[in-house]
Amino acid sequence: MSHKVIPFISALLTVVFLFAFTVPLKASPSPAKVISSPGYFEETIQELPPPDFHPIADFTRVAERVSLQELINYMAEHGMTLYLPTQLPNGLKLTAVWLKDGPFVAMIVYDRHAETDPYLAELVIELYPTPLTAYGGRSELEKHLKEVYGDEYGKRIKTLEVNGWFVVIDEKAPCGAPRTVEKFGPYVLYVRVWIEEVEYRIVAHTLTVEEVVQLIQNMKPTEA
Amino acid sequence: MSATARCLRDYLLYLSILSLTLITFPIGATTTSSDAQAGYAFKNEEWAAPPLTAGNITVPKMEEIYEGYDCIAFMAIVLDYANYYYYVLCGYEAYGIDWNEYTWYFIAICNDAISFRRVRWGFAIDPFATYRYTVCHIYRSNDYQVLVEAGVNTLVNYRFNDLSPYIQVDHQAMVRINAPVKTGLIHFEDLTYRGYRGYAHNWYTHIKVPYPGFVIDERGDYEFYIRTD
Repeated sequence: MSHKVIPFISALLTVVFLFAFTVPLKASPSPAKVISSPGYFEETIQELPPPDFHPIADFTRVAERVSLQELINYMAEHGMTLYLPTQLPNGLKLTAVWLKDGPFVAMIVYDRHAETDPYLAELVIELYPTPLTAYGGRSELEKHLKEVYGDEYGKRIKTLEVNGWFVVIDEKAPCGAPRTVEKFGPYVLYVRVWIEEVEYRIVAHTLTVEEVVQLIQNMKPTEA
Repeated sequence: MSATARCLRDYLLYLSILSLTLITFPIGATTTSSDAQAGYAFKNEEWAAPPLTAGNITVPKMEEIYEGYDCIAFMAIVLDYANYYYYVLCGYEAYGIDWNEYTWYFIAICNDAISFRRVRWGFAIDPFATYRYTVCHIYRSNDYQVLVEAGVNTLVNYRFNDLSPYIQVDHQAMVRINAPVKTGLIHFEDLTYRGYRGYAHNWYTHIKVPYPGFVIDERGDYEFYIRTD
């Protein structure tokens, strides 16, 4: 019997010994000690946020799921018309509409597999009440983009006009939601379009730039 | 096989089994880490979000904190929700440097389509006092200003330049922790917004944003207490 017990106890003692050194004891009664760092200043700049750092609550926690008709009605009450693509590539289907009414933010979610979570769906169209004039107009916005993106303007960032609407294409925008990154990776095709007084931001994980441009060409006003 | 060899084989076998058990079922929550946030989101009747948000925040002593884990209580302006997310925030950070030993900072973060920028300041002042945190889009610019004030004294006045996108779309007043961190009763009060012109107003409606592990005591549209349970 002892030839089985001795190795077991030895192994147990080894594990306990190692564990005691690596993990702090949770039941320690000592109160927290605060250390001030006067004069401390640290500035960090990096391309992507740390992967486990997400301070803001995501949109599904501040918005409500509504029907498309409710969104159309809400926008109509504010004198706005909703534009949506009349043709969708790759078998994408409308799966959910999320609305925060005041300040107005909406997300229209499309997916081939009925995914309703905007952070897991293949295509999301966001709506914000920020007309092009809020950015000082097209030329001001182009000037701003050239300034802030520098050499990447013309490569990663492109501007064009579709149906008379100003379009900004970002082929490599960072997106940091853990569930999004796990499914699609840390970058996304991010296209901004201004139609009337509304800014549409198209977040496309599985579409090409050409497919998104075609989708914008097919955007038409929806009936109230 | 000799008795010594058998003993050694069994020892290694038990060691593997016990180690695997500990890895699979960690004791307590001390080795897990997940991001959690709760608080208030702004709500108003206006079509667009105002460019300034501010609030007084009082953070008592952390009840439980570990090396490398932190707690941030902040005011934020959201710039985009879909890309999880673009925002500018300003607040208080307790950062664990050892078991139940932490240092604290004023912190400001700007995360947009261009980069993630984080600035921390350390001061030799009372960490448990009430400070006012402000985040503000600067009119006709691509820039944001963050302020930390103690009464009439401005402790931090910092500007993030050249954001993209840069127009505000929402406001939040939140506490964010790594899962094993336990906070005391954090107090948010005098939550305020302001347009480019005119006077500041208190938030007059709000959305409570709960999260498992947090208790929120709503005292009104512009005041609440929050702690971990």
